Amino acid sequence: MNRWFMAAMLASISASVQDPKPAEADPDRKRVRDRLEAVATALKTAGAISFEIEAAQGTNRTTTNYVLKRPHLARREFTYDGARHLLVADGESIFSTDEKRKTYTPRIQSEFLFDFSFTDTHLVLQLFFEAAPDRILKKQAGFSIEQGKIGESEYEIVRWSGPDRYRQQTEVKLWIDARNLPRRVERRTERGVRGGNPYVSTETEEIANLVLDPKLDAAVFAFTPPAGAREETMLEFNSPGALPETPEGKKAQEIFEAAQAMLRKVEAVEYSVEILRQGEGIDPKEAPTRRRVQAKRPNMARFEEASARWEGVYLLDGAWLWIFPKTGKTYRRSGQMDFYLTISGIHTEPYYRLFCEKNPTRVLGGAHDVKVGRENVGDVECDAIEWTQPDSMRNEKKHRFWIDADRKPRRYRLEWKYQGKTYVESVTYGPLDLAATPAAETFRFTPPADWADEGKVDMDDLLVAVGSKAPDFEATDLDGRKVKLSDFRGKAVLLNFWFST
Amino acid sequence: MNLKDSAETITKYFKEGGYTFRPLRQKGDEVSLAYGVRGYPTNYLIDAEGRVAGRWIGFEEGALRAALSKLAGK
Repeated sequence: MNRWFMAAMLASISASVQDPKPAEADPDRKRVRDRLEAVATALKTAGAISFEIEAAQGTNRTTTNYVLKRPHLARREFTYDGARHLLVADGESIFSTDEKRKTYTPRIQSEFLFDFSFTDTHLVLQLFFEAAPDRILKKQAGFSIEQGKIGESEYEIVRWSGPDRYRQQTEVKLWIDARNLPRRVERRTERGVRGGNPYVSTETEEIANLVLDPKLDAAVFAFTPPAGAREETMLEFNSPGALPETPEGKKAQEIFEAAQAMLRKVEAVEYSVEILRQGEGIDPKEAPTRRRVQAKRPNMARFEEASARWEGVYLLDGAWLWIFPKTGKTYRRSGQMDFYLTISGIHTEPYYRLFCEKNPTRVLGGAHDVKVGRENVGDVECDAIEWTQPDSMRNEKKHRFWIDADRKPRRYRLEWKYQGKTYVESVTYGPLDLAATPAAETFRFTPPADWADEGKVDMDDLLVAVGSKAPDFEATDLDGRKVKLSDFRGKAVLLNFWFST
Repeated sequence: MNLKDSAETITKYFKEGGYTFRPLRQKGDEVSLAYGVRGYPTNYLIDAEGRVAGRWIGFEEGALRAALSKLAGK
């Protein structure tokens, strides 16, 4: 957390503010909420439903078949770009498979609804499984209900607008039939400006063949891997691109696979790293990030991190990914998806993925200009593997990995350019323990009762409420003088909290 | 949003309004915690009676102007 914040004393203003009025109950909001509640109730009569969604976005059209069964079984199929995509949630795992890639990826079934969404959580799924109109309408405004027709049939159209999960302004319309069942969903999202004009995208979903309590085959929620398909983790899925074919590329791959082979023999591994960042806007005196890694098969890991910005833990407990700080009373929880770790920066170093990958490692997926040389780290002789590789944003990054004769990692360096400026991350590996026996508690986390789940609150909700007393504090100014908020009584104050640059 | 640009904008805004800006240093992160700061920049407007008159994450000049007008009793 940043130690510095700013206080501006608004010396010229000393008027007091009126108490904010309590928010009036919005009658339109209540009416829309009640209609959504009615849809959820109509769906609640069924233990299972099946339906088709015909979706249009611009000129793209897809038909998706859904079968949903309480409490959390689901099957979704659609064809895209000539290939069939299938997703099955069987109560324990979620499997997704892709005919074109001939692979399938199992994931632990948790945060179920999130797995179904690529843009926004599907309204029908939310209403069937969750029946939580308040959650759907949170932070929304502009409520209205009107009548409309599709063909010869009459519908009620409920409408609301507000920020979607990506904070983009979205207007949602839901057509409801006489039985209180959903018929059509339309979403209009403001996606910024293109060529000087505001760009709005519209998605329309026609809900067809909705059947309550359809006759279901026993196998509908069972997943059978397609013939010839191989299992692939999310990590591997997110490393597209061929492995290098050059002699040096193959030599590099051999070295990584040798390290993998060693790791395959053990149940658990422990090591620590120090990560130094360099680049524009990064304080050269910034302390390196220290991270301790403990990983245990089949799918548990604990990363304890202490950086200039944050101290806390990323924990994979076999079902969930927990993120919680050393100080503070909030935590985050999400479905165990190892790709999340990629985007959160945990995979800044490649050794953990060598432990996880089931197939020959794809750490060199899409790599080119691969070179293998010899270079010492301290007085330890190492193979130094160098390669260039585009990341998921197609940004080319330069990698260098030093590994000793026993195939233990020693050092790793990552370099990339962003907006013309160069950034470097240097990782130094501490001793590696291949005979680790971490205790079971290492991979367990129960949030204390008074902690808040960040996923269930908005960042705004964590702030001090308008109208309440601003917490008094004591801080030190640039001259070393002690300053208290209460010193400013009689004047208005603006507090700014910043990242340090 | 470029934080550096925001810092310059907000400083300029306040300088023009004749406000004095004082950087303050907290012990550990006790003030950030007390104010529930998770995202940056987080702003609080506190009235002369010590109550929170407004708060927002991100720099929105509109929100700031509105809050200041309210405070000035306009």
